[in-house]
Amino acid sequence: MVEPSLIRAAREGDREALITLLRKIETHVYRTAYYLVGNEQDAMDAAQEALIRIYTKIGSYEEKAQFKTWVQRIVTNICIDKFRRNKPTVSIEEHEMVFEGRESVEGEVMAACAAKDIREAIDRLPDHHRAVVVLRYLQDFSYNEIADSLDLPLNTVKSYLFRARQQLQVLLRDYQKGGVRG
Amino acid sequence: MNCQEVMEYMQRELDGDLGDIESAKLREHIRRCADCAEMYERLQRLSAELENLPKVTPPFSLVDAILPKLEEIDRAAAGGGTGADGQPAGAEGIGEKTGSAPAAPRRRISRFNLRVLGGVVAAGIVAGVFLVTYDRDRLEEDMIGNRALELASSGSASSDASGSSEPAIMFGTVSESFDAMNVADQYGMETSADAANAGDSSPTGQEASPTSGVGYKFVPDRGEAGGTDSGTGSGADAGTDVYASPGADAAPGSGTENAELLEAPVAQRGESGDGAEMPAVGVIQDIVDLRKELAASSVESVSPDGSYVAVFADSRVIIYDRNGNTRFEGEEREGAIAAYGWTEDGGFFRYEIRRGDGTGETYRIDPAAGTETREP
Repeated sequence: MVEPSLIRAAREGDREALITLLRKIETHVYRTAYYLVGNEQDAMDAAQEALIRIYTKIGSYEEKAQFKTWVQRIVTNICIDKFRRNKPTVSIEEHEMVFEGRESVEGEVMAACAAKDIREAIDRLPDHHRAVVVLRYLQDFSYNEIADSLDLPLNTVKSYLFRARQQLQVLLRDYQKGGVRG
Repeated sequence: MNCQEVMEYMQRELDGDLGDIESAKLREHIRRCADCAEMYERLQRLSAELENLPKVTPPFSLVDAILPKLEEIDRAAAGGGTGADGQPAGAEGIGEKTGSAPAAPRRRISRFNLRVLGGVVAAGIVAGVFLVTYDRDRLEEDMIGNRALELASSGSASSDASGSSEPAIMFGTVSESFDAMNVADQYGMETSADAANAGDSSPTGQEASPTSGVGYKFVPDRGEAGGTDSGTGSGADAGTDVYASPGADAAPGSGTENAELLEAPVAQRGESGDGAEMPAVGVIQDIVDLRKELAASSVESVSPDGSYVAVFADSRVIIYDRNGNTRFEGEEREGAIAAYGWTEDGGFFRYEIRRGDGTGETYRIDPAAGTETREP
């Protein structure tokens, strides 16, 4: 939680406060970027870009919004717009067919630790489903905070989160059926 | 409660979104439904794994990494408001260009009336039919006087190191039509008291008394005559100014406020001595004296007896008679017209050409004979 006074000082042009503020949020920014773009290098690039944008746009932040959702909106937008181009994702509607048809392949791919399995599975989610999951689990955001961050209706956030978990669950089930993990 | 509804309850339960009654319903269903129980177990395990995803941190401080960029941004932001536009005034003979580029035309416009009036009188430009149609809105739209007369002058004349003001006039033609302008005469020129042009010109115009010189620079013709580039600079202003055929009968009947302001002193200057017809001259002369500046001049000069009009355009001098017929068309001259004027008897038009390297010459045109001679 960043102190409101620090945010206010940064907004009012206190450069030191703004730098301090960036330091406080850089890990949160990076973490979201990391799980959204799927690798460290792109995450570094995206997070730095997000921090620069926050630096230049701090004046446009309005206190009626939560600072942390404003920050996450910036970083998710950058990640989705710039760093997810041409990344293959599964269609969430077809997940049963996709994953069942590729069971053995998935089993091979998912041969490492559980976290890596989930990371890879997350990486295959459609952008906004993945973003909802990341904000829910890496930023501990509520439905409302996710909705604010992603500019999505509350029901859409729930729908995305539920569908994403179902898909991930199917993936893990298939993986477990492969016998690697019990 | 069917299994589909329970699925949503399970999901919401994972997020702590179920009330007590809903939780009880969920547990009740799971107790009796093995499929849902298994699903719920998997979802719980998944959710736990998601919560246990590594809380990755950047390998090094991102803020430290971007600090140089942030300083760069700060510098750019700070520089944007104060930087000059980098356009040397001397290069184009345009003064008053120390601000940002977009602001310059507006500033010139704001100085238009007074300086032009003062300059015209001081330079002794006699223009019985000379009118300037100057459309402020249009000019602002077109930024740098495209298809409109742009007059600009510098207020720094009095502080000019040379002690003499040196307006430079830039003009050229554009092969565009000026339909909306509804006038035949349009001159684009820019004037300045740019010190860079100062010091080397002497007045040749018989009536250019208050000033030691009037500098003019031709600008390349953007629209139709690229070869006429006189080398006086080709900045954004060049070639955007307009001049159209300056027949003596071409005065616009209705002009803008500026045209009207210009009309009296300019048109009647030639009738000097007839106070009734030149009410503004004295006032303007006062202004000139007070400000000790010659700010602007015309690109058109009417002979004392009104027989001829000399026009600078397209890097050459053209002399028309009172009927608008061309009596003389000079060669293209490389350089700026540094001074000009009619001889007292009105028989000759003299002008001085100056180039950036300091060389130059003076020519004398005899409109009656249609000849031009270079003066030694």
